[in-house]
Amino acid sequence: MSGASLLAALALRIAGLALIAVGGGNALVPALHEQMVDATHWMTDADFAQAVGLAQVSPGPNMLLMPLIGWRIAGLAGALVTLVAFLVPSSTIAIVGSRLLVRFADAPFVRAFTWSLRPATGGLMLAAGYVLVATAARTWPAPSPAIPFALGLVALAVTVASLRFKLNPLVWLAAAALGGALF
Amino acid sequence: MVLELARLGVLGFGGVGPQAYHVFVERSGWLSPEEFAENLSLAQALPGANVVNLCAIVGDRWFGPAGALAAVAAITVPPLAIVLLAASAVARIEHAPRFIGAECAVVAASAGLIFATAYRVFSTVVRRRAAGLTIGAAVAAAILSHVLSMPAATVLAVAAGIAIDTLTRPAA
Repeated sequence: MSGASLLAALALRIAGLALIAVGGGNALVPALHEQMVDATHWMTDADFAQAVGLAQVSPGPNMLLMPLIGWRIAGLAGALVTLVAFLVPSSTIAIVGSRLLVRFADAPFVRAFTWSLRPATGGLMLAAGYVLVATAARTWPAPSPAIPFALGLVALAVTVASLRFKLNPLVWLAAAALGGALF
Repeated sequence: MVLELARLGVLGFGGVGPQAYHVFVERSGWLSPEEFAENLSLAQALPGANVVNLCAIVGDRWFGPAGALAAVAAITVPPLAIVLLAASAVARIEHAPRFIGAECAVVAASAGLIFATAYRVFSTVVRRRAAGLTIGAAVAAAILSHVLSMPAATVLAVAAGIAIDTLTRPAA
């Protein structure tokens, strides 16, 4: 694919994802994986896992995963195109939506809608976590049947620890990085 | 406002959500605590990144569309520069097995952070009647969407939630 048509295709797919991205950047991980790895083969599983890891340990909103992926696929132009393609549709909807919902906040349908989004968002997050563990297991340098279970245990341990102790999430990420490097 | 948000973006490790309350309510006084809760749940309900949506909404309310543009740019561009610099810096060691091992463990750990957020999200709905049914529908939809690649399933889960909520709401 030539440079310009790759950028246009990338912008279209990211803008499409921006329209369905309910529940924040992390809930979008499975859909991103499907679009960038499975459907288009624009990046490998390992590249994707690396981008997710880097976006998690870097400062800023989690949606910066998207320009980071654009950067891996098409350089600086890719990063800027994905940033704009994601922000323009979602911010426009946010502004229009907030102006409308402020006016109709007490309508029964609006209340039912915002309530129903919450369990759906939670379900999407469970799927996102599953895809992350599966991607990490496929990327591990020395494959073995025990790896998926070990990484699943890491995920569950961090779940419990972060619910139990109110510490900066970076503490758990740093502990996992150290463990992964030594193991 | 641009400077405050750029600072929030650059210092907000592991997602900016937890620090956003401090900046929007306590430091700047842009929103009262009630306005913050109201606008954040709106930002979460609409597609897009939660805090970025919140910046767009607050920027629009105070300064109109130009304010929204400035707020969104302020929260995303400075940290993006840092992320890309970090990505260039690791490009040289990215094939070392120990680096890949650390990276895989970080990805698994971030899955844990996401599970914890999902738990908090579910815990805000369990007290409602028929919540179990709705959560079951949502989880089934997530499995259908992502394990079997049926994206429309999530839309159906939201529709099911609306139906369940409307049918089980006591008549006023």
